[in-house]
Parts: sequence; structure tokens; C-alpha cells
Amino acid sequence: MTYLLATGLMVILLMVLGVFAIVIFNGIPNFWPKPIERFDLSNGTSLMGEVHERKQVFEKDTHQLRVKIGNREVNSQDFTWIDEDTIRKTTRPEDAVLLERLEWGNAYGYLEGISFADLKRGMREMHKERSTIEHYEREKLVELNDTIAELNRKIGRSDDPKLKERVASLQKQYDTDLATLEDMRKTAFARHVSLKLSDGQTRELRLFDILHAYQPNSMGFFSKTGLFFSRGFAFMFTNPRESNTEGGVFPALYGTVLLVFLMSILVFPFGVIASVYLHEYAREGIILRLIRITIFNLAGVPSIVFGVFGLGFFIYTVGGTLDTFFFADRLPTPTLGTGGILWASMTLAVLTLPVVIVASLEGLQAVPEMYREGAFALGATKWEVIRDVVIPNAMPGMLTGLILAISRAAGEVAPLMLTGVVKSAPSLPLDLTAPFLHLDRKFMHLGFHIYDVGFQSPNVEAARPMVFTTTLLLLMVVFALNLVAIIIRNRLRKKFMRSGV
Amino acid sequence: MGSISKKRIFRNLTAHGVFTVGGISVILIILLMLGFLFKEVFPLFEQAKVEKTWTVPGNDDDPAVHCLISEDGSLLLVLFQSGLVTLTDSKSGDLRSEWSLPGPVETVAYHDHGLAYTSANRLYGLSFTFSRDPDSGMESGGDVRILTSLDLPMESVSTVAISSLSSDTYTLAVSSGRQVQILNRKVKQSLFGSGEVVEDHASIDLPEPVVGMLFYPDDTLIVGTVSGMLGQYELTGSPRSAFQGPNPLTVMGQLIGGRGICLGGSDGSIQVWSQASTDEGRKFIKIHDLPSMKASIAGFSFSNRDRSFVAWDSKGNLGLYYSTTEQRKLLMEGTPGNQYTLNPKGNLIAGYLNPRIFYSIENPHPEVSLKTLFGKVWYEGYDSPQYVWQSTGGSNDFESKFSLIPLILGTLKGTLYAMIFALPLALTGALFMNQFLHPDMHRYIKPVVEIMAGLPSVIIGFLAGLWLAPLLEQILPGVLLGLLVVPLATVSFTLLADRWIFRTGQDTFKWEILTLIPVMVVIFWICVKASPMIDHLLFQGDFRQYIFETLHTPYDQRNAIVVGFAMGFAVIPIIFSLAEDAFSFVPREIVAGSLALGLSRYQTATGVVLKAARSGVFSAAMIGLGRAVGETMIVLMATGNTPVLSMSPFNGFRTFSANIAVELPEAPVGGSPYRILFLTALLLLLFTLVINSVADLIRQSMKKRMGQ
Repeated sequence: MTYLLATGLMVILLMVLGVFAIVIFNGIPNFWPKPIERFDLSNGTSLMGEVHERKQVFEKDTHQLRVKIGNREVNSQDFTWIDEDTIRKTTRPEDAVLLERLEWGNAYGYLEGISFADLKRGMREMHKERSTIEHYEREKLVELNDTIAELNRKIGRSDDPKLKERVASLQKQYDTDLATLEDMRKTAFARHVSLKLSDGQTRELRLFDILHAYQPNSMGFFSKTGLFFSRGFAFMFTNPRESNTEGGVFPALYGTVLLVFLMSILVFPFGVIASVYLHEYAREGIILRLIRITIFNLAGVPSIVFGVFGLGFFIYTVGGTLDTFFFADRLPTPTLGTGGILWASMTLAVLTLPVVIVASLEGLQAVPEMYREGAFALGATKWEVIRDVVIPNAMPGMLTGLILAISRAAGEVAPLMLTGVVKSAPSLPLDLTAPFLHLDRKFMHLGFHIYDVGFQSPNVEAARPMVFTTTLLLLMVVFALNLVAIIIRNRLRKKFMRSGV
Repeated sequence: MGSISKKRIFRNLTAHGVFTVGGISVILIILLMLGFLFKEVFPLFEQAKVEKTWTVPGNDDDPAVHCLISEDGSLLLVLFQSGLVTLTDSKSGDLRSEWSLPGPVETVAYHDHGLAYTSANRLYGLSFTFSRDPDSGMESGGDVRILTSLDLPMESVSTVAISSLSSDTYTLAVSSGRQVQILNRKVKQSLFGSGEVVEDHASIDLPEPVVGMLFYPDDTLIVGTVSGMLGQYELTGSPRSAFQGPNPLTVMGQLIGGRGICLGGSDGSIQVWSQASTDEGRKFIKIHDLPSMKASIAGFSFSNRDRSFVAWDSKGNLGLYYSTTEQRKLLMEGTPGNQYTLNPKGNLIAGYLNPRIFYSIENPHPEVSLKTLFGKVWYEGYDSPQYVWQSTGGSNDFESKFSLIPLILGTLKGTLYAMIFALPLALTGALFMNQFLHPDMHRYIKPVVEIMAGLPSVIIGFLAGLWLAPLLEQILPGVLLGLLVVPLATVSFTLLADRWIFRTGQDTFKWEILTLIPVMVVIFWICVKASPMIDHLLFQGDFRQYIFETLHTPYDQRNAIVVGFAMGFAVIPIIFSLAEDAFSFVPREIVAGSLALGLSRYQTATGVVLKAARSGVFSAAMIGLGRAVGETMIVLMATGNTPVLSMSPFNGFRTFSANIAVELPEAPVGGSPYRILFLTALLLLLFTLVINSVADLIRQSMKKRMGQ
């Protein structure tokens, strides 16, 4: 019967291992280049693409293949199911090429009229042109536009002729830049590449749209490994495309890190101060006990309640009031009266505050009373005792609390849904345009990204691999943070145990 | 000894100040949160009240026949018997504009674009519009225009009802005495351009004089006679159904949306009827009996924004009602013989005969009451009172349904299924680790559970919704079989393998216990592979169909089983850690004593340790329960998020937390759904606070009993 109890523990272990296994086995292979297979079917048609899944049809005894055929502007869907018993012949043509594109998903086919090497060269040249065009589109023109809009608002309030002059000259510059952009686009769009698809038709693709090209069937192990790592790297550091089903998750990763950073700056000082106050300064009594109980219990309150508070109080009340004082000219469009990274990080700070306080209190309690007494005996003031003896010794506990808070912030999504996270943000909250830190901007978050792409995206089949990889990334981030917490805690414990009495 | 430097004293005092201020402000923020939630919820339950009343002299010689108030209540458009129309300021009574229409005005009816009236065999369809000053946004003026007019085939029209009215087409009904005529003019478009005018004419003779008529949204005419008999007729005049209202019937009217018929009787009674589909087909059912007035009902005026309306009686008493909640919000003494209108916003009632009397009222959240939140409500179109949560619908006249019962049930359901999965696993696991696992192993097992605790619920929800749910739909019979077979098979395996793998008679286990894992996995895999066979044998090939046929509920892919299992990830670590803590509080002496007396480890574990620590275990379960109640992302992703009233494991549900996450971003600030969502957040907060506090108290008392 003992073993019956054992199975309980084993199931728990299996569950944890299982989660990691599923995420790893579904997430990592996405980066490894799959061969392009060409299927000639018994009905005379032929399809080309990557095999992503082989499923057993439970009712019959056959299997089905889920093949990514891409070419979304020709096919209606990214993926299609092929019954294995309808396949007449399967080949892996050496010269089959995969083109990753800006729109319409991957393209699979054969190059016509151009060699692969020439294609790569053309792409390298195009890459430079593309960056310039993107720079114009996303930065130059947008900045000019914003400045003009801001100046126009100022003109609305005062009637300064100098401002009007400035607006006029900026507008002229905008028009010139726009014209240059149009020219650049025209030249870039003019270059085309011919691609012959598996069913025989030839399509003209714009070289501009092609981001990556490779021939997976003729790649060796080393080049495949190289591609694997470059894809992994690109996943973490490029922007998403095609409503989050292609490309990378860089803004989401960036947003998560920035959010966590802002939250830590807010929660750590307040948490430490509050716990020090409660433990070192406050007088014992019923009120203190009540407060301690409340804080302890708040750690167990659902995160959505904090989200509600964040929305109702921070955003609508405080943000709305601030808007009427500082951004009245933009109303009724809210600036601070709507979700943004500032309010989201404040909400998360309130959410994790109880956790940090509780952990810091434990750290403070662990400091032996002897240390304090000794320091007082040597003539230190209360502040000096706290600064030089208590806090350093309580640091392991405090840092544990902080890192628990951080890993919660990286993983919590519900309160963010109410306070400013979005599916796709046009710009980053911390970038190179003044005032550099835009606290009013909405942001992206890895956890929300998983929810959104997995459940709200128009093309769930295409998105699934992406979601698994994002999940893997989030898991690694959370796992790494927890590991760091454990290591720091152990190191500090050892350090203070050695130097202890 | 030297004296302490001023700088150090200063720093000390400053630190003291900073810490005190900081500490207190943190505590204040936490209290602020509670207070803020209360503050946002409180207005839901405020009573309606009259803020101001004032009078403005009217006109005795030319009695007003009807009145319209602008949206904000600042302008009044009055139609007089002579055909004069005036636009006045409601506060001061100043005249802004006036128009002259053909008179005398006999009866009045509403149509899509405004008002219509009859005068000497003709019907005039009017358009009344109020305009706003574009800069200030204040209401500044209005316009009255005759849209269309047509001849009526009757003398002395007593009531009119209009279904549609435009310059070339119309559908309307007029009555005089006991006769009703239905007039219908359509333009039939032919394939080649110009239309052909088709005019229809139907006549209905009734046994008694007609009191009122109205068109129902399904294009039928409802005619009410003096005895309270109401008949439903097709446009051709043929009768469809009938029902009995208050006898005698004095007034008839329609709530916004047209599906609620309001009837007033001479005894002061007010009833609301609506058409519903029953087993016997579609018929009219009385859905509300509203608090009656003291004298015979003299008139109704309906809000065109919600289901509020004003009813007044022959003695001049005035009541502000809300249909869905069956409440009378205000009762005022008006002036006898006066007639009233309610403005679209619902915050101004105007009596427009002489003198003009105005009531400015505050009636926030009229559709919310304890009954609509927690009781069964009979909504328009339903054949019985129900608990429904449906906060918004496709059109403006949608009747919002705010019952919290489906959400409460959903929350309980999610928690129940989570605990069904989590409790056995967590408790057996904790007991095993504490009593049977060698202490050296704890260093490896504990971090695994901590990692489980750190898994973001988004990830669990995603895997549950997108990976587990589709898979389970295929292999559920196999899984259920596995749940039975795996424990049995594992135990049998251990009986066999006891001699070689597990050293018999040993005290605690180390790594060898992990050999159970591959055994369990293999057996489970076999069960899953056998799933189609089971399907074939027991469930006629498709267990989903079988469930639908026997239980009359469909099998949803994302259902309570999936969620229960997924929530286990969130809940198991908490219960595991706290239970394990509780077990370790049991003093070693007791355990040692039990073993010394000859009880086996298993008997000690279950009979002694578990019993001794049971309040600790109970407290752990409570805290796990608190966690399950508030879980949002897993529920959001792994259920269909439908607010159903079913505890079946095969369909989804909606919890408080998922409801908030989905609906709060869309709710207009300060509106009823907004505040109700805050109420649910407050309920969640209070519930978890109570549960956690109670659990904590139990834990403390257990520690004391164990002598720690």
C-alpha cells in the first residue's frame, strides 16, 4: 500500500517532467530546418512542403501527414493534411528552395532564371535598401509626424507665428522625405524573382519581400546547425510578422524584461522599507498583528483583483486626473488615462509587494538578536544597526523575495490584460526617441503573447509552433530566475554562516 | 567617552522618519485597495432619489397633447392640441422656437423617426430632432418637420399604432370605437427598375371598445380592449393568439425593444407581458407583476435607453419603475390630471400640462438589485425565470442579464474539479515524501515541486487548451481506464519486483522508487492505445456521441476535466508544501513511539501522522482552494468560457476571475457592468482573505498543539 502513496508522488514528478518534455519537444525542433518533400498524389496533383506532424487516424489504420505548403497567396491555408495512402511518390528535390517572406508566409518551389548564389547576392543588396526604407517608415517619418502634431497642438493653444513657420518647414521636409521614400520603394519593388511551384505554375515574387532563402535538401549537418542557431537567435531578437504568426518575439521579450525591471525598482525599496518598519520600528500590538495578517493574506489574493484595482484606481482615477492636468489638449484621447507600462508595472508592484514583504520579514527574523544587541552595545544608532548589521544579514531573504516577485511578474498575465498589454505594439516603451522612456506606451509581454497567439490568432495552425517556442523561452526565463534565486540564497547563507558566531 | 556626532543623530532621525512614512504608506496602499473596491461597488445599491423639482407655468387654453424631452433634459418640445409646437428651455420656460402644424391634434403615436398624430381623417408623420452646439456640446435647438401625411379611412380615430412610416410606404393601424383597420402600403421592386405600389387593407371588429394597440417586433398587431382582453393579429387581420390582462384595462405601452408589453388597469395594477416559445408554441406570458399604484393607471412614458418607465394614475401620483427588477424606484405625488414624459437619459421627468412640473432624478444602475444579481429573473422572451449571465448583446435595446449565479457555480465547479485532482495527488505525495522517502532525496524532490509552483499559469493553460484538450477528445476512454489500471498495475509490479529492486523490509526509499515511473508510463501508454478498442466495445464507436445521447449534454473539447487537471499544476505545489510542513510538525517522538510499538511505516503514516496533522492538512487544502478560486489564465484558455449552469465534467464553465478578465476591458467606466465586475472582484478578495485567515489560524493552533 505504500506504493499507492508512491504513485502519487511519481505522478507529480511525471507532470513536471511532462510539461518540460512537451514544451521542449514541440518548441525546439521548429528551428531545425526540415527537408522539403515533394508529394506526387494518386490524383495527379503534386504538393511541396515541410512535414510537421504524422498523426494516426484513430478510426482507420492509416496515417495522415500535416504538411506546411505555405504560398498563402495561392493556397488558402498554410497547412494541409495528406492521407498517406493517397501518396504515389515522395521525393526530396535537391534544388527545392524555401523563401521566408514578409507577407503570405513561406514560399516553396524551384528558382527559375536565377541561380541560388545570385539570389543570395541580390538579397544582400536588398537587405541594405530594406533597412533604409524601414528606417524612413518607422523612425524618420513617424518622428516628424509626431513633432508636427505636437506643434499643432501648441499652436492650438497659443498663436505663435514662429511655431507656424516651424511647422511649415517641417511639413516641407516631411513631404520631401516622403517623396524619397516613394522613390526608394519603387526601385526596390521593381526587382523580381521567378519561382516555379510544385504544380507547375510560375510566380513572380518581389525580391524586397524575401527575407531568407535556403535549400534545406542540399544543406549539410553543419550548415543546418548554423541555421538552427541563427533561427533561434532571430526568434529572440527580431520583430513579429503576419499578426504574430511569423518572425520573432523580440518586442514581447523586451517588454517583459522592461516590465520586470520597472516593477523591481518600485517593489524592492518599498518592500524593504515596509518590512524593516514592521519588524524594527513598529510597536507590538493588536494593530500590528492585524497588519501582518492582512499582508500575509494578500499574498494569496488572486492576481486579477490587483488588475481590477490597477485599472480602476491607477488608470481611470489617477491617470484620468493626470490627463486633465497635463495632457488636456490631447483629450478625449487618453494619454495616462489608459493602460501603459507605467500602470502595469505599478499594478504588478502592488501585487508582489506582500510576497516581498513576507520574504523580507523572514530574512529579518533570521538575523539573530545578538547581532543587533552587539552593535547597540558598541554605540551604534538604530539606523546604523539597521544599515550595517540587520539589512546585510537579511539580504538573502530579501533577495529571495525579490526574485520570487520577478518570476511572478514574468509569468503573470491576467492583471496585465487589464492594464496595458497589447497584442502588437507599434513601438517600444524604451527606445531612442526622446524622452526615451515612454511610460504611457502600451507594451508586449511573453506571457500575453502565448495567450494571444495561441487563442486569438487568425491562423492557429501556423501559429502553434511559434507559441510552443515562446512558451519554451518563457519557461527558460522563469527557470533561470528561480535558479539564480536559489544560488544567491545558498551563497549568501553560506557566507553569513561562515562569518557567524 | 566621546559624544555622538550631530550628523549621526540627524541620519538616525531621518531614517526613522523614512521608514515610518514608507511603512505606513505601504499599509495605506493595501487599505486603499480594499477601500477603492468598496467605493466602486457601493453605487450599485444606492436608492433612486429626486434631486430637484420645479414648476414652470403652462398654457391653460391650449392643452398640451404630447411632449418630448431632449437627451440631457435641457429642452422641451411640446405638441399642443391646436397643432402648435413649441421648443422651450426646461429650466426657465423661455421659448426658443415654435412651429405651426395642422390641428386639432386628436391621437398621438410613435414611429421610428419620431411622433405621428391624427387630425381630421389625416395622419401626419413628424420628425423631431434636437441639435447640439458643435463647440460647447450643449443642446441648443430643435427642428420639427412633417415627413409624410396620408388620408385615413376613418372618422374620429381613437387610437393609432405605427409599425413603419415613410414617405411612400407604411404599415399602421387605426381604431375607432370597436373597429380596427390595418393599412399597409409597400412598393414592390420589380427586376426592371420602377416599383409597383401595393396597398393592403384589413379590418377587425371587436366586441368591445379598443383601449390601445401596438405592433410587436414579429410584425403582428396587439389590440387591447376595455375588458383587458388582448388579441394578437397578423397584418391580414387574422387572429393568432389572445391573452387576458388586467380587467378593466386602461393603458397599454411597449418597453424599449418592443418585446415587453406594459398593461395598466383601473385598479392600479401594472403587468408586463412578453412572448416566449413554450412547448405549446409561441404564446404571451405575464413575466412581471409590478407594485401597483393607488388609483387607476392613467398613462405610461417609456425610456428609450433601458427598461425604465414612468406610470401615473388618475390621482396624479407618479411612479418610476424598472421592468426587469420588478421594482418601483420612486413614488411621487404629482398634480392630478397631468401627463408625464421621461427623458432618454432617465434623469428628468416632465409633467407637461398646466402647470409644468419637473422632477430631476438620480437613478444610477436601475437594472441592478439583489434579486437580479442572485435570484431567478424572468427575462423577455424566456418561458420561465432563469439565472442568466449575459451582460451585452447585439443591439442597444438588449436586456442585460446580470445574474451572478452562473458565475458562482462556475467558480465552484472549477474549484471542485481542481481539488478532485489535486488533493489526492498532493496529499499522497506529501505523505510519501515525508514518511517514506529518505531525507537525502528531499534535496532533489523538493526543487521539482518548487519548479511546479513557479510554472506560469499561462503556459499551463496553453498546454491544457491547445495540446491536452484535443488529445483527450480522442483518447478519453483510454485515460479513464488508465486511471484505474495504473495504480493497480503498479502495486502488482511492486509486489513482484519487491525482492530485486526494493530491498524488502527497508525503511525508506531512495532512487529505486523512481523505477516506478517507467512502469507507470508504459502501462498508461498501453491503456491509451487501447482507447479505440474501448470506444468500440462500450461506446458504439464514439464515446462523445454516447455521452450526448445518455447525458443529453454535448462533449466540449475544452471541459471541466481538462481544467481540473490543469489547475492541479497550480494547486498541487501549494497543498504539497503546506501538507508536508504539517507532517513535519508532528513530533518525532510520536512517530518513533508508534514504530516502537510495532506498527509498520504505512500504519504509522496513515494512522498516526496523518491523523495528528489533519488540521494542518485541512488548512493546506483550504489555501489550495483559495488559489484555485482565483486562477484566471488556466480557466480562460482551457474552458469554453461559457457561463453555463451545469456541473457536468464534459462542458465548460465561466469563473469570476475569467469573467473579469474578459469583460472589464470592454465595460464603460461607471456603468452597471463595470460596477458589477468590481463587485465580483470584491467578492473574490473577501473570500480569499477569509479562507486564508481561517486556514492560517488553524495552522497556528495546530502548531501550538504539537508543542512548537
